[in-house]
Amino acid sequence: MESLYFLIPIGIVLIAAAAGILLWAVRSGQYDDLDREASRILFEEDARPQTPDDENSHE
Amino acid sequence: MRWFCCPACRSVAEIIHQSGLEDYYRLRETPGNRPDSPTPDKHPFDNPAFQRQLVQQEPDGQCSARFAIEGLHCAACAWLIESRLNTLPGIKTATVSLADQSLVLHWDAALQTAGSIAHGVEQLGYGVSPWHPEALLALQQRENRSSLQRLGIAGLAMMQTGMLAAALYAGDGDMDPEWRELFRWVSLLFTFPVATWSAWPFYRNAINGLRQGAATMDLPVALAIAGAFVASVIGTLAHSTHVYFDSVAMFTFLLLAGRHLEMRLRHRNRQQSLVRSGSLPWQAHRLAHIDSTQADSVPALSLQAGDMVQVLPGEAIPVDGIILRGQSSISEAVLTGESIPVDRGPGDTVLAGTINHEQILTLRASSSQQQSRVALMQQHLQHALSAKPATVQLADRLSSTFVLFVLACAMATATFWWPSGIDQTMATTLAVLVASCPCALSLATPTALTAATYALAQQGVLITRAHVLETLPRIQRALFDKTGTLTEGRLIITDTRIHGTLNEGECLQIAASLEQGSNHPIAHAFQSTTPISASDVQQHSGMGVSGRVHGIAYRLGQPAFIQANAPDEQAHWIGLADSQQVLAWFSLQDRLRDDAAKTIASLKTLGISTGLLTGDRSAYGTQLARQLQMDSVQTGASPEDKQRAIIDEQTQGTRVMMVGDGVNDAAVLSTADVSFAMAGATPLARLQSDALLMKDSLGLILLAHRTALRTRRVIRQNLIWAAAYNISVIPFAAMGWVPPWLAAIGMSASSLLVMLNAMRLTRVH
Repeated sequence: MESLYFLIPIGIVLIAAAAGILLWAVRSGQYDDLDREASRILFEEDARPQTPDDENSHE
Repeated sequence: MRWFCCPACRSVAEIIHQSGLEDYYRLRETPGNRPDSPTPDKHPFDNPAFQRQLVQQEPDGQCSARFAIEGLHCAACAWLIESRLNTLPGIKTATVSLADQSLVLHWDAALQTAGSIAHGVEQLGYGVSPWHPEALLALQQRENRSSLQRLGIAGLAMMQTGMLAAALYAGDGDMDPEWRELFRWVSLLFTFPVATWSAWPFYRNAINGLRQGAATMDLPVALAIAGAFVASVIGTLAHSTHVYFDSVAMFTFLLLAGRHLEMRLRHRNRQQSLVRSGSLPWQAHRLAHIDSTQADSVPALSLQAGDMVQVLPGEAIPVDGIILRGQSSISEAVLTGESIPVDRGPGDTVLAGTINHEQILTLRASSSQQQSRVALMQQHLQHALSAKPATVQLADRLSSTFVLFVLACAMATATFWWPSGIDQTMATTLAVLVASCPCALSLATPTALTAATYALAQQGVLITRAHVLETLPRIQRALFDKTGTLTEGRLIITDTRIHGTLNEGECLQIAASLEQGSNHPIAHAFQSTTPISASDVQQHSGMGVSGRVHGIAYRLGQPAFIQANAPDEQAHWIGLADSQQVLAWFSLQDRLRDDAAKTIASLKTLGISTGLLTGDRSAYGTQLARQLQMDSVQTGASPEDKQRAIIDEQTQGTRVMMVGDGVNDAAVLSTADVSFAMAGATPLARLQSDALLMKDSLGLILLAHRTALRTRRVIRQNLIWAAAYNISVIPFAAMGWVPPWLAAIGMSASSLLVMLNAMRLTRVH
């Protein structure tokens, strides 16, 4: 049981860190647009950079 | 397969994805679907004046800028714009935000210009304009962030204290006091930020309420949180039997979560009702002096009083000003809701936001754009909207009585148990406070309102002010605007009289041919007929149009223009004549909405009397009111007349609903007890109304009324249940028969029941 004197402070530090990260994330605007981010995963990131080859091949 | 919000997004995405068609976007010079905005050789954003305003230069050759995007519907639109921009060379990051409808860009100045990027977005069919931070949006962002932070902290603390509380309850009685003390102190540590910082909005609202002499719903909540927390701290210090840290954290979290959802819904509704810079153009053509032939494209915001401005046909006027040169017909629909344009010439004043239809006009600006009449009204309204006080809840009166009752009970319990010692007194008094915790009571109203607001939003009614659902069932009188509200706001031909040798079809075809290519509202009336080619077509400002069809000269326009007398004064007549005689008269009228008659009739069966309030002077208003069997009609009413009419009724104790769409309705909409703006309403009317219809269907008003009635019923059930539960449990708690775990279960169960009851409202009948 004595290990609790060690484990509980660790728990407190971890929670404080999690709270700090949450506050930072909200303040830096990462939660401003929940609608957009919620559906981001549904869209493929298939946009490819435009290369000179593309320009030629379609002309 | 992906999902899209609208056919437009879908078709654009389909086109993009079909290989080969990407070239269409890359190669074409002018977007086919936007003939009103011809693409100049050089995008206006590349002018030095815009560069300075828009683009931030960074030392390493990078640029950044923020644009407002018009026409964003859903995540698919945002994705499309981002993906499209990411294929362009030189773009570092492109981020579209749906929340504030903006695009934030970082790019390499050597490879792209602001204009070329904006052009890329415009080709997808979206509008791009310079970003202007709006006070309301900034406020919403602050509110959202603060709410999320408080909620997140409360959630983390709730989980920790819940875990510790499980140990405390499980070990109740036979736990080593050493561990019990430790767990309590750790719980106190976690609950402290919740009870102080997270719950702060409740304290603030409760204090604000008390200052205004009202005990709001936040008062019992604040008392419960603060009371339970302080009592638990004292309990920890005094080593008494029970602490309630877990209840404090959970209660705060649940309430904050409810408030957060409610707030998000409110923000989204308000955003959709706020069409940013929709009516005012961001670009203007400035002339160096009155005789210069070359106009500079400048940001409309940089215009000063005294500047010479050129306005091309089809453009919106950028600033308030006086016409120096040119004669044109101007549509003031954005201000007045009236679809028929008015004639303006040199010396006349024109207002920003109105549309120039026919000729090039040269104006002298009389103020800057920020000082224009529409902009000032918009600022004023935004301010009023953001400064709106917290909503007054239905449960307020009930809760203040209830909270006094609970406090009295707690005092009585404390007095009764006092002889048995401090420990026993503390435990039972706290049990009374926790058992009577107004959790269910405080959830009763907001959950029902949120569920109903959500359900209505799904059906196309956006509620922007919370009082709507409460006030709507008590409405006794419904007043309607005419143009754009009861009618569609589009002119159609309702009657044709033939005088000459040509038949109706031939007359219509000649008229349509003369009007083709004009975007005058009268021209729209003839669009259903296929035109043939016409030559020498000339617009005569405010009068009509002349031209040749099959080589014969015709004139189409006002009675004075074709030098004849209209058949009667009852309608708006447009005549067609050749060089000798009048060939035909067309009566133009605004078409009545399909569901207008049914809506008026249904309102009457609900015991709501109806009335027509219109600025139109013609006899059509009276005729329409008679046709719809409305109880009263007032024509030719100015905005002040309309407002006075409503105030007169209100002083007689009648609660009035107003449905309108124009800017001249804005004042009336804010005066009425409840107001609805139509889907096609001007931005000002939308801002000023309590609810907004997303579809042009008057039947939605009936739906809102029905939902409001059901909401009221559900709120009453919830309040009765919650109050009955709390009151019946107090005697048992006062007797010391309710252990804390039972009080906690009771509290959760009653809250859950209230929530489930409210969820019934999400099913729309």
